[in-house]
Amino acid sequence: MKTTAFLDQINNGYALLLLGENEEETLDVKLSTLAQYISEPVKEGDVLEIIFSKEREVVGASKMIEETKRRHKEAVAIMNRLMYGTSEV
Amino acid sequence: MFLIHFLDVGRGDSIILQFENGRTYLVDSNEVAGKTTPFEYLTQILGVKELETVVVTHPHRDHIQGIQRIIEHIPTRQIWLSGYPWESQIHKNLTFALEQRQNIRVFFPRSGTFIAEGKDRVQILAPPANLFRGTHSDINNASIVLKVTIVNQRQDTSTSAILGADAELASWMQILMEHGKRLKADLLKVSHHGSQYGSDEEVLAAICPNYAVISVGENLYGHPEASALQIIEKFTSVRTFRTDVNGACVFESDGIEWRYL
Repeated sequence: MKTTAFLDQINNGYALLLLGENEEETLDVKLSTLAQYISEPVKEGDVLEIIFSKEREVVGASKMIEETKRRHKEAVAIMNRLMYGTSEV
Repeated sequence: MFLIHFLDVGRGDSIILQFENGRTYLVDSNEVAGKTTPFEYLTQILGVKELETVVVTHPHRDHIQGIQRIIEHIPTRQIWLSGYPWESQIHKNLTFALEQRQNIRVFFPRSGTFIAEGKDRVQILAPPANLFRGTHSDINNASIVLKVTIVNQRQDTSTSAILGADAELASWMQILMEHGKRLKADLLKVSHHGSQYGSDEEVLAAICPNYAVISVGENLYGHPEASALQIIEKFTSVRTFRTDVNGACVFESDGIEWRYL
């Protein structure tokens, strides 16, 4: 099963992934597991595509680079509107 | 009497400040199945009807889960954000909701700001005006770090507490540079759940607390880490508390001393 995940935090060799429609589900995955499928290091804020086995083990992963960029741009725009009243600063 | 509640919310933070002037602050929220949520604690245990301030120290999930429900159901005068743009859906939903709700003032506190709560004070120790870039964790180093000072005017004394959020070394070094020995506080909410990146010997030596509280739950990361515990216990003169061991930790202060309830 493929799903989109947001990498919220990295702590001591583990990535905390947020899953589900509203990202309310959490899953800790070893960075070494992700490294089997993603050649460059992952970082906090990355949006990933995760493939799970029936046993809910991670059997595939890739970076969703365009989605990560899109979300970052959107988050910056919202924060700028809250801080400065405009999305373009 | 001032009260501070360190809630047991698993691996996350949630702290409630109740000032003598009747105002209540909520600092972060996390929700875990099987534990009293900050919303339940506020409404059912404390009977809080309104919040003066909700502080979202930084946008990691274990500090913002439940904030949106709280501000939707408990009248809230203002919310403080670090200003760090974060791309998670939960943070997007919160910031989007804040854009729509004109009745909640959104404030981005920066170091050097003081807020008076009656005779007591809330001081912003971090983040600085320009958020850190290129540190071990910029989002953690954008954390809002607070120092609360409780004043006893009759005795001309005060007590204080520092709430370290998830601030890491870069932030602490900046705080130390700005405040030096004035950083001294009686009570410390240990930074980042007892991570090695949140506790530094030089910083703890400056704060030199009587009590330290580590907000932590079951985790795979090794929090609190042995190296951090060693530093914390070396400089904490009376006792270190852990929410995973002691449950919710409540202290009161009259500006003369802290009492663990």
